[in-house]
Amino acid sequence: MPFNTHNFIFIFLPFFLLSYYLADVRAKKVILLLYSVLFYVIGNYKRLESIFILVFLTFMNYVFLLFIVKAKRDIVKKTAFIIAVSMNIIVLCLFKLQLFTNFIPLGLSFYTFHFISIIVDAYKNKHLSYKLIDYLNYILFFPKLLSGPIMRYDNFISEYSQRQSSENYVVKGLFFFSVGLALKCLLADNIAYIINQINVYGFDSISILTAWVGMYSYTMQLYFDFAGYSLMAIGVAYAIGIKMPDNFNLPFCSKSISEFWRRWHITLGHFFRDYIYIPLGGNFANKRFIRQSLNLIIVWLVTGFWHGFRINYILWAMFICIIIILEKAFLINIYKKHEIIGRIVVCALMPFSFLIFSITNLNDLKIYIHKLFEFSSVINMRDFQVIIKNYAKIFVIGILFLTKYPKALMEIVCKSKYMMIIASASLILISIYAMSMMNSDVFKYFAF
Amino acid sequence: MGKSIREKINFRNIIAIILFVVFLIVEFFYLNKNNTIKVSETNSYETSDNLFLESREVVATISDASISKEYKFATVSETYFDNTLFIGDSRMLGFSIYKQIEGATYYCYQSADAFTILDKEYEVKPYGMISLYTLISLNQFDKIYISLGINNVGAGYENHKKHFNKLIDTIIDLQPNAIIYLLANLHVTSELKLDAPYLTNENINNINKFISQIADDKNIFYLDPNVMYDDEYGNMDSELSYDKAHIYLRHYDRYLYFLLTHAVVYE
Repeated sequence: MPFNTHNFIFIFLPFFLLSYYLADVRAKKVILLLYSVLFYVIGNYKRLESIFILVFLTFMNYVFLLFIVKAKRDIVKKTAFIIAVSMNIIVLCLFKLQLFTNFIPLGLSFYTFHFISIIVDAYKNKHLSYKLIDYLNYILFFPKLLSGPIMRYDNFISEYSQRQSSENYVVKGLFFFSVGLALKCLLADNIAYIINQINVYGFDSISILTAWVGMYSYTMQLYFDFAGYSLMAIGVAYAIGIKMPDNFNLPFCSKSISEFWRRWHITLGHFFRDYIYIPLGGNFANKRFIRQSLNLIIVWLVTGFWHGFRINYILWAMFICIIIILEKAFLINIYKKHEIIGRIVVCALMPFSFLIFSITNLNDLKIYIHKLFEFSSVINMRDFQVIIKNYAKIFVIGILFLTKYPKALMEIVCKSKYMMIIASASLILISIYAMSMMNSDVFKYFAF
Repeated sequence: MGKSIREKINFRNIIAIILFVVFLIVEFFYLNKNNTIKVSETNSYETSDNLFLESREVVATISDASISKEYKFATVSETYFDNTLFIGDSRMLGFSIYKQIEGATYYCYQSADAFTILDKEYEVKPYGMISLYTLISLNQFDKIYISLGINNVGAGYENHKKHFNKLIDTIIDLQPNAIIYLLANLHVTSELKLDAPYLTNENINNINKFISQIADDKNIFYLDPNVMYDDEYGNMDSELSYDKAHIYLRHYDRYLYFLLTHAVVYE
């Protein structure tokens, strides 16, 4: 069940918050688990395979977890660890490769990482309680179940046991939720119209300026969609006193591509850093640049494959990897002297990389890239005129929201409970109106 | 002393559980309600929502799918479109983006329809912001091509017919010497009905049928460019469109070719 639906906003969330706050301390865990289970079932009752896969993996991982935690012999621990991690990776790969089916269970990419994380941490002897209800609540915790943020088990248990419940948390949590909802419904979904229009025209028919507008639109749509969803998840968790890690931290204010990837999808970056990059050797104390570069290539290949087994994801990953390697080699020294160069690199190359990420057909990608530099197309820019006439405002607003100012405004609003309440109510109402307009009036959406 | 009943039974938990059960019931009814919208074999859109009741008048099975008339047309060059006005919705807008024919004026925009097009102001080169009514009041055109209708599928058949007739009457009054071409609305692909159940080619054909009946073959002619885009089932070829409703810009070359080969030239 996506967060940006009437079902979630008007039915699920109010009932959940009421039930949760009414229940006593012990019952809260049960209530959370019941609603988390229902969250997934309601979103997937038409695809029972998704539910089956989740149940199967949850059960099997718990069995292996118990083996790892309780086994006295190291060989048993190691075997259970290897089988558990392999099982998760194989299931993920089978669905990503789409060997037997085109369908991918909702949330698979994220909950398999949670399974791997808990298994690896248990194997490293992180002495934690692995009670069934805590384990289930960690895996199925509905705010993060479908699209993250990726949270460690020890972090989750710590947050859960130290959580505080008060109206301040509910108010702030709902404020975060409303901002996330607005990012998704008002920005991402409207910027998507620009992309749709360009696709309707056909890439081979667009002029150079339209191509550039489209490139930035792809980037903004991706960012606002994902950042909005993450913020909604964080908001819902905060409302019950659980602080989930941030997933985005003003990535377009970065001064280098390396820094960008420390601010974009932060929890995924940390997962790859902690479970792949560091075990491979990490930075190797700056002396073994080739080994460090190789580690980066491996991590980015895995990142590409995690998004999907398509050539464009691999190209995208390698494109970024090469830039990061070049930055580590010498570019970062140039950025230190001339910060503006780093910022320009981020603002020019990151959107270009997201173009590679978004356009899955290589032939279409080739055509689009050619259009970015087809200066002769300035002669006929009627398509650009239409795009500007219809979408200039949302495009400019989107650009503004890439800067640090909206976040600064958010922090000011957070200082006052009443401002948060007014802002939340306004944003939710406007977002719901936008959602309804999009859903109820098909013609508006298709805009004949 | 044993615990009191109050201590044994946590009323808050009971209320929480009751709330959970109520939630299950509400959710069941909500999901059930969302699944009751059906599309029958005749493509009528059955729902309790009054918004769609009128659209059922639009739906009819057509026994004769052929609604275009036979004309003898001339093949012309693009100079034929000197002092020509193209009026339309996003499909005509696509044509104007594909080709800005010299000497032609384009009055077309997304969501254009027969209900509002006369009065709505729109940016038109070289006139600036102008309504269609003002444009045709101040200028005389030799030919006028009109492509409208699809944005009113679902608006009610009689209502649509009334507004379309009013539009044509106004144009005839203000443009007595113009040759008027009524263009059939392009079809959509067969897959579109999964996203928009009442936007079917049967409904589009109904609109095209009453548009064709306005043509008098003297000064008002009916043209059907669907021959350039349809598959063997009368649907738009799905290879030609991204969103199942608009053709890629590059395929407007066929539209232009169709217009150039279906021109009326008075001797």
